[in-house]
Amino acid sequence: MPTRRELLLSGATVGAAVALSSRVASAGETAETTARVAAQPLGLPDEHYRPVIVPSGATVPFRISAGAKVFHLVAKEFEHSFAPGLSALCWGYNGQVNGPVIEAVEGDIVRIYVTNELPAPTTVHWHGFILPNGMDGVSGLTQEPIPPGETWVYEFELVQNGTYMFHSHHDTMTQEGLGLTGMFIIHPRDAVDPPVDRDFALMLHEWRIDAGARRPNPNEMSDFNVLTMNGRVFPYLEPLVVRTGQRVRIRIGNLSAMDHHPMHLHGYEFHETAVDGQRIPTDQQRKRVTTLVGVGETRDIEFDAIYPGDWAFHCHMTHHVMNQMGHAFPNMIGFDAKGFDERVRSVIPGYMTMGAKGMKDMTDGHMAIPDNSIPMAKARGGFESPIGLGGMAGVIKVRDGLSDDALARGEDPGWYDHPPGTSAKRASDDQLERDGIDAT
Amino acid sequence: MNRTATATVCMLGAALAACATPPPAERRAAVRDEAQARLGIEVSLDPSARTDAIETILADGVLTADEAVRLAIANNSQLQALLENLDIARAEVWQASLLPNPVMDAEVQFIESDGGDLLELGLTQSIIDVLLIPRRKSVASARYQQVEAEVTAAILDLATEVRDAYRTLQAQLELVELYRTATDATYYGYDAARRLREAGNIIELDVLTEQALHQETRTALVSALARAGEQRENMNALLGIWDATGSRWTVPPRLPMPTDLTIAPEDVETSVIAASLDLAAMHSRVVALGRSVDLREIEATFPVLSAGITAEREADETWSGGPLVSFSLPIFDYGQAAGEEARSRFEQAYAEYTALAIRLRRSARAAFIMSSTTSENSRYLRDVIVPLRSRITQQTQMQFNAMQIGVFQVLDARRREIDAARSSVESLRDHWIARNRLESLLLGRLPQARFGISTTANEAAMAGSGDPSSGGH
Ligand SMILES: [Cu+2]
Repeated sequence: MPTRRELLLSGATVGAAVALSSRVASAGETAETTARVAAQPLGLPDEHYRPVIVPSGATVPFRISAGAKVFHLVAKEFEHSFAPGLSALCWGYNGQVNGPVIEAVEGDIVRIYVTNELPAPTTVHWHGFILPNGMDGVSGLTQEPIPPGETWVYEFELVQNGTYMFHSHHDTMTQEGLGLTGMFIIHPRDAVDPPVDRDFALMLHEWRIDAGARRPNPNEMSDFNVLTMNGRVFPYLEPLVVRTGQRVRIRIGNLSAMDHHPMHLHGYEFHETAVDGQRIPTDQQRKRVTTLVGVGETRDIEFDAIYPGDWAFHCHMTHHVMNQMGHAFPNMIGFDAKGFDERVRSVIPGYMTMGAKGMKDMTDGHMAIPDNSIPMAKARGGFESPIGLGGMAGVIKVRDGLSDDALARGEDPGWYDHPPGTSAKRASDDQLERDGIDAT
Repeated sequence: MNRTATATVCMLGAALAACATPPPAERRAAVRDEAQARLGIEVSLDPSARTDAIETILADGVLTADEAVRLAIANNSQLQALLENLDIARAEVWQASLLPNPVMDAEVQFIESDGGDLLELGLTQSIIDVLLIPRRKSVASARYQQVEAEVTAAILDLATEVRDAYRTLQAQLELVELYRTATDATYYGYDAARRLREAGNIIELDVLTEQALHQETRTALVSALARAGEQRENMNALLGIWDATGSRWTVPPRLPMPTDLTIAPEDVETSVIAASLDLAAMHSRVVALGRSVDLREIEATFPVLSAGITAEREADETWSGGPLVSFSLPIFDYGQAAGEEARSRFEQAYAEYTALAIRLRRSARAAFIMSSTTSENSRYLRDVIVPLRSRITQQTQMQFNAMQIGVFQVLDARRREIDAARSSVESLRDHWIARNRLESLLLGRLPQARFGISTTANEAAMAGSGDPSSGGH
């Protein structure tokens, strides 16, 4: 991923508003567009906006050419890693799942080249945008689909600001399902008040990848078993690192196939500041701890990070915080395995009853599970025990005194060190006695 | 005169008797040697060596297929009875070289008549019989050879039947073990269901379903055990064992994999034809009938001189419908009808000989095809299907370990693996039965079971289904 400096270096003459003709060579037709004249200078990172942070992801680099910001998306199949031990063949843009974030500024003219390296035709739909109908990207309705091997171009002016998305709109079920989605952030010309210090973008998605399979099943309609933010399951999503006192925005987009996700933040009350790109007037912003992000919707939440700690941020649907949960697994809770396992081993060597105490059952570590599967993944946090959370979850690490450099480098400050007397412990006998708790 | 005639007969008899009656073991040597040569193993037909044979063979408790064959040949009581045919036929050869005993005739004559013309009659008979001795002897010899061939055939049949029974039992014991494992697997499924019911997690219906599956599998095990017991008794019957010795032997637990034929496929038919005892016996019969065509013509030429006259005359009431009814006045019958009949019998035998040769070729081809396809099939089951099922079980178990599926699916996968193993055993057993059939043909016999107590095992094996109660594997 290029740095901002490289982007700027790659950007040619800034603000040269010259009308010119651009011919794009392609296998079939030739697209011919006339560059418009932007009303204002094209927005530049740090100058006109504070770039978003994409945990475990990236933004699309751009160059400035012929009066527009030029982006290039390459749709193709590649192997994506959801977590150590689980990767699959996905379809995505620029080798990323879920796609890289496009950032621009209200009033910019964007020219977006789309190269189709998929085996199937495709289009890109700009989700939520006010644009010419012919740029809307619905295959067969507003354009011919882009054939495999061709590069097509979309160009339009950004007349809105807020959190938006883009995704394939050709065979949407398959192509979105396999990962052809991304977020599109349009920063306002004028910064909002109060300005945010840390602006994160998270794209929600859901997949069906059978334990041991190597490709998500886009035909799945209800039984999804891999739930991701920016294409990662917990705890393999990079943490959202914040210095105590900073103002934080989290932009959440949901292009899951079939599920809305009630996203819940621990330890804070946040303001829901935007819905589908629309900024909510300050006096109408509601304080919440959970915001429901429907399919095809975006939400922005903001809060002042005044409480240090490792705060979980996750979908509150319990099945969405599991990794490759087997829904065909019978209910084994309460199963009395006394005298059972040894005998079954005479027929099935190595047999061990699972799930009698729940789905986070301890395994002896010798039990073979399918390659490329993570149902038994046992990541550790700052404790002896593994983290009892997976799937669509992340952690916001709020720490005192983090330097701007450390934040810019995206350093992980490690697990939170709880000050004495501020974490749950086994109750002492004195405490029990003092408070009259009979726990015998 | 009477005394003189008797003396003459006795002298003649004594002269002929000198060449006969060796001890039983030696008398059976030719058959034994022939059987050994064909079977390729040492066998004993000596009744006095029976106990020793049992003790030697059963010393280590494990019976090999060859040992089982040797033991059966030494000890099978039906075969012992057949072996007596050898001695009987040998005696008949001897008898054919003797003059009929006139003393016996005289005694009959005394009872039936006043015995006035006894002497002439006796003499007349003697003269004709003496004339016919070489031919009678020749017929008896041909018959003896036929009996020899029949007894050899019986030994070979017994060997094949023992081999069939042996492989069938071996397979059945393996099947019993597989049924036992399958029964265990379904029991654990039932047990798991009960425990889950106990925990309050599943409904009664689920428990009953698992229970039914278990009980049905258990029933199949019980049938398999019963069949194994029956087959063991069949083996004991073939081995000629009826006492406690019957529990002293066992067979190795695994059927061997198919082995290559020692002859090239294109030689199978000709080898079967060349080896066929049936065909050789048929050949002897054709030859014997050819000779009796001659003989009958001679007898027909001299009907008035035949022994029947006296009997006919003296015993109108007592012998009506007896063996001599065909006789009538020579004015009409000079033997042409009898000759015609004999010639037809000869032609018939020759046609049967040809038919047998064709049938042998057909059987050889069929047995070869069965043997090689079952061989291929059993190899495929062992090398492909069973390992595949085993991998499926492993993968199912991995999915279980990953908590994707439950214990019931794991047990079910294991059960299917056992089913595949069962098919493999059954296919291998079918191969050995087919192979035995082919080997039997190459030994010179169209196999036929006639020594065991029951043929259900073989029939079931040939039908390719070891267990009628086990559907859908
Ligand atoms: Cu959710």
